[in-house]
Amino acid sequence: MSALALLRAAAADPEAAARAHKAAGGRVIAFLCDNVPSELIAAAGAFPLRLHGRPAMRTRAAERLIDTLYPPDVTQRPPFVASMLDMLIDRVVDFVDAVIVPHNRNAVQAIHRELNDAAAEHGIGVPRTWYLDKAWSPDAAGRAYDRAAILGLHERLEAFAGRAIPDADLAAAIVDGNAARAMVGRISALRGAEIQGSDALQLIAAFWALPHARFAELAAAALGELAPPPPGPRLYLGGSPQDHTGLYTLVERLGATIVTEDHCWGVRAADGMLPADVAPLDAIAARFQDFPACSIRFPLQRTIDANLARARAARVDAAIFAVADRDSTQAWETPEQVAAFRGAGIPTLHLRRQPYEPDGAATDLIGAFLQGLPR
Amino acid sequence: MTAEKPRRLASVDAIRAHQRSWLEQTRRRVAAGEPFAICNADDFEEIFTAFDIPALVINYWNSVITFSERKGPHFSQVLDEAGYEPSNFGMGLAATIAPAEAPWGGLPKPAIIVGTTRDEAQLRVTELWARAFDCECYPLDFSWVSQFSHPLPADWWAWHRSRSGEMTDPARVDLRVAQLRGLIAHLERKLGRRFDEAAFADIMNRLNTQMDRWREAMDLIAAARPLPVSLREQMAAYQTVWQRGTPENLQLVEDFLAEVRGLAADGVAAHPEERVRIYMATSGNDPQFHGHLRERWGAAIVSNRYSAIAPMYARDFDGDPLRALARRQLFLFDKEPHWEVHEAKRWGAEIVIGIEPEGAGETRYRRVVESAGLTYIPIPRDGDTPEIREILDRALTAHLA
Repeated sequence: MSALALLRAAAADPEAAARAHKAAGGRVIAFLCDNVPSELIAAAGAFPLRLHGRPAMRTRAAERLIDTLYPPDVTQRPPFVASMLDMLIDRVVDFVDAVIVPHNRNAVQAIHRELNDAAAEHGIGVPRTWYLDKAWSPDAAGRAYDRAAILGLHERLEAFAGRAIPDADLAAAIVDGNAARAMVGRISALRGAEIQGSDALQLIAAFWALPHARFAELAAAALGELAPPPPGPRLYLGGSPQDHTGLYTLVERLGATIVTEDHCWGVRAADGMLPADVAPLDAIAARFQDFPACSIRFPLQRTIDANLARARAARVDAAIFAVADRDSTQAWETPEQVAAFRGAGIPTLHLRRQPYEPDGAATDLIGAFLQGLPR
Repeated sequence: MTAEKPRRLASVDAIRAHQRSWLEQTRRRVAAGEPFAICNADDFEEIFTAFDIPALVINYWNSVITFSERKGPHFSQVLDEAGYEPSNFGMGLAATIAPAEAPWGGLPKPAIIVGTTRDEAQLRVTELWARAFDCECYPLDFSWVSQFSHPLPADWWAWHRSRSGEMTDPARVDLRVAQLRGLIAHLERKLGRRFDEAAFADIMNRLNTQMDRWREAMDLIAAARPLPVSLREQMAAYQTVWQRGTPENLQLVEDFLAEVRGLAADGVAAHPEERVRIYMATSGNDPQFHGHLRERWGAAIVSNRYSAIAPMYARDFDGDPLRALARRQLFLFDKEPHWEVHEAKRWGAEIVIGIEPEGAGETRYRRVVESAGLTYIPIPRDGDTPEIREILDRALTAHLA
């Protein structure tokens, strides 16, 4: 198999490598979202697996076994979170030793309680969860709290490993992580000219499914194997997480390509590189505080500025913001971003209440939007 | 037969009038250059009161817009047209974006809005609201609903006041106290006022007394047969909870208690046709289908979870009211069926109505309520429609058979 084929296979079956690692006697720690320090898990000798929801995983187990536990206003979740919850209830990842649930958006952090309540109520087996708390405020007290949360995770991982995590192991894991994240950045930067947006999203998905060193090695080899996209408008994609390539391929079918984005399955992984001149745990703790939790940053202007800078650096012709149904984070922060993009002269389309997979209405709106772009 | 409108209490009318006059008075104070603040219900209000800063509680204002003034549809449209997702929490923001139809003349410009990280939407709404007012937004980490990490003891509702340390994660409490102190220091600088610790302790003590009086009134109402005070009046009286620990509001609750004592002693009936008692496991007001239930079935909705939420604001404190407040901010109550069954029984209800999505099937609420020997009626929404009436009629027929 070529490097590209191996990466595509990892993206198509994100649990495969971790499952194989476990079958060979290894240990696997899964986690939700993009702000859990995978380097720390790797340094503890476990396979870090980011849980990857996707439309094929939507079995509605969450509705059957979780939503029946609480009043309906307690259990609002967007489909990309529901699919991960389905996977956890359906035992798709029953091989993992634990799942780290960070305090990110409400629907994500609730999974910790929901799984434990479902186990108690229905007597079902669910993976063990470790809650990783996080303060969102960018003040000194919040910073200290988040550092303590990372130190607590470090301690927990040491207990799990049955040994101390040597600084040298952590430093090595950070080197591997940085190499992999640098490859994510490189892949992203080649979009539009040498790589299709959907291909890039697929390769970046493999970043979360493979050991960092393996991903970096395969990605470097795969870059030459990819076909360049046809010429067309270069787009920025904002809004909700895209854990599958549906919207990317739709845009490509309509003659454009997504060259950069702000969501947790895209180029944001490249932002997580850690400095080599800072003590490893200090670097990880600082990143944990600074990195947005499900795009939640305070104040909102920080998000707007970061995203405009990302769009400008990628020389985009236009932007699409796609907000998933029940995504209460993006539903409130996207309108200001849309206004800022339009104010900056970037033609911008705002798609609201989007289904998990793009439908005919989205096709029509995007098609009309692209047709209206200046040639 | 048409069910009579339930009696209005003089003490509750005084509460209604007080709320409007408070806003009018606040508007005048702001016009004279004094600061005004907006914060969430379980957040920073007592500290603002100690600073002598009038503070408007967000969900109270949203409730005025949605329930009292029935402007939810209008302001939902405002939010939708601005690109946001209509929600009850966003009503105040909507009334600021489009003030022409804001209730009671709208709000004056606040000096500060305390942001809440209850969830991401509430954080953003408070921030956007501050943008709309061109004032400061100051977020505090962790509040009630963000508690997913700390298990609660059984019967937590009996211990929330005296054993609040068991309800919350100590590390989160430490952070919350540090952030409260940070915001207090910020306000001292911003406003040129000193935070009076003794005045704050007085407010927390008075708050506890206020909630004791509330509890006493609710116990009397719950125990009396027939029900002497309607749910509508109970919910109107609940407005006192949005200004906690002030002498005025303590007096309003004491007046309410005195009137309740008299009504209970006189055997006054809020709903003379009362034959069956129903408890609503909801946070809404007196539902519009109540008239139908009374007329057709003699079924009186005696209360909802709000009657028991008010005392949840009380906290014992052993010389450290700020820590007690922080604990309460981290845990107020949990929407869970064992507590609601406890409440339904306290009110002598034999039926519990809850809101559940259609086709929800066998839910935990149903299991817990029915295993307690009560009838459970799930409805998909709080509305007086033929569909809802049909569900209620079917269930009442079966219950009374």
